[in-house]
Amino acid sequence: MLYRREILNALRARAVGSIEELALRSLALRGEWRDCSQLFESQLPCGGWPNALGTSEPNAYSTSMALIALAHLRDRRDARAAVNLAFGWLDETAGREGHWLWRWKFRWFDRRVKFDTSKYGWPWIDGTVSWVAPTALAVIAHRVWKRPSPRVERGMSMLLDRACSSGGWNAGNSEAFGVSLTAHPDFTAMGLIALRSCGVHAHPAVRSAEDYLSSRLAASEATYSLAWALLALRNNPKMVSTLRARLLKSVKLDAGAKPTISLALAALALEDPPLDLTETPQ
Amino acid sequence: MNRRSLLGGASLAATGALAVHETSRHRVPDRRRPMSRVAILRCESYKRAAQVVWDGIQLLEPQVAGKHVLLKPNLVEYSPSASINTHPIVIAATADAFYSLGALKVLVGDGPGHVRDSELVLEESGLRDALRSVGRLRFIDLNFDRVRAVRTQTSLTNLKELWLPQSVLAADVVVSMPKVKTHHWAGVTLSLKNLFGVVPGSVYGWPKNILHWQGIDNSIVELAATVSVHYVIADGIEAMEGNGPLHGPARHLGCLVFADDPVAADSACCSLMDVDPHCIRHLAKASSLGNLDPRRWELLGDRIASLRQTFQPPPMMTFARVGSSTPEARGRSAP
Repeated sequence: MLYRREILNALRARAVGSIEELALRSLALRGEWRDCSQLFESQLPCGGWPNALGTSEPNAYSTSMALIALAHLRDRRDARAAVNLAFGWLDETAGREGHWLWRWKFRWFDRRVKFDTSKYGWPWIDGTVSWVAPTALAVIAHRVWKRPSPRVERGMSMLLDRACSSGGWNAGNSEAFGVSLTAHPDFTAMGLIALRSCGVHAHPAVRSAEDYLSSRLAASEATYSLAWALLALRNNPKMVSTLRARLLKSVKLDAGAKPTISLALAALALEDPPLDLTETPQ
Repeated sequence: MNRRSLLGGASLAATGALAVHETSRHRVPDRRRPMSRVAILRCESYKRAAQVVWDGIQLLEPQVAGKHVLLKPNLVEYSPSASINTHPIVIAATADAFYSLGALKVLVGDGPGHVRDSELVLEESGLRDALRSVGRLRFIDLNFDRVRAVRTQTSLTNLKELWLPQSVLAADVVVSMPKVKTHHWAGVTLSLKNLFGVVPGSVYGWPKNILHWQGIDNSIVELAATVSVHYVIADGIEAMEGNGPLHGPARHLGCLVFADDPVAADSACCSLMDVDPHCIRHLAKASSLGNLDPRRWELLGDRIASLRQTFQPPPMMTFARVGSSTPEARGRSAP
């Protein structure tokens, strides 16, 4: 596709400031460039990756994003040491509600936010509770590297528990202070990809998330959300065609001003077919 | 000296040392000026907002010629049925006014707490079109900006440093532009709580959950002590009461609040909401960062009492009303 080439040209010229940008740009340019040295160099001694380059706070979202990129970019044998270290860190990192003390607090004393504390996943950074985006990406990272872990089951159950009643996923909860929360397109897309990668296709939460995502961006030109939606609905030919047209229009509006993350996601979503984040070429 | 008096003396000394340590640990810098300027201007609808913004900014006499100005609105997420975000007309009018006063560059920047796609919020809230109408105006997503570590100014939290966006640190003038709202964790969300939006999600995640775990009130004060806010322009035309900051009903307050002191601005907004500012924990803790006490305000424009409305508190919270808490507070209540 002609315009996708222009997006890739724009991406080549971009400097990156975060692991998310680096991983997504590397994925988008994987057809021509498979150098992972910057990813390896930015891994922290604990095994996790920070997000903003130069910072030292390991982040489950960016660690998972780096793992997904490495799975698509490398001969798996070359990355084995870094990957083992990263999964070691992910296995030790859990939302704070996973600890019995906080589980007790949320169960008996703090009911302002509603969720089942026995179902927990990954936090963005250590010392906080589980959220949808890092949990979904950690599940995808485990699946794409075919790493069995009881944490994947628990992460899936957390995603199912926290689905919004109107479909899709908010940042982390489905209800707070007695109010049902509404979903966000990107978190919904990540949740859908994660659950499908584990073979969960027919669950009502998956069906209602697909419905939400199919209708939510009907009039939008927001590149980042459209790209995530396209990656999540890649198996629905009708939605692929609709979202692809809208995404192309969105990128053409002002490609130079789009954030690197949005451009890279757009490049991945505009592949034909859109990239399957959970499957890598053997 | 017998053993009993020795032990007694030692425990007294230890208690004293602990008290001194705790006092200094929680010390917030004293940045109070002799007087702060606060202007409250009636504004019944957003149709008049551009003119009222210009009038209010002129009352503040901001020194912005040749400077880089960062406007920090409250941009959370969009809902067609809720009054959540600082209105685009107020933001665009402010940018326009600062350019008219000679600002070299005006940026609008925020890092929404729950939403990673600020493009979607800009599009749906109408802010994208409003910014385009001004021209020379760029939006910076502070969640994804380049960051630099800054030492925190108090020890209220365990955070020894905060990673903050370059655009905030590089600005000569920072203008906090909150929406006047109640908040289910912090009581109210005004110019100080609005600083949560300068904390980058790319480092801390969405939401910036680390700040909640460090104590929301302490985190607000830590941020206020670390990031200088030079001016406040608060959108109180359509405010929010009850289950804020997202799900409360709209409350037509009908005014804009201007100040050169964030503590004074928040105190004035609380008074407008009929909330005793001394009973908002983060505001009481931040009281040395500005003038909470209206006796140290040069109050311009309308009188607070003529605009005051009684806002419903968030769920599971009660508000002490203006003048109802202590005789001393009654003496201090804003005119």
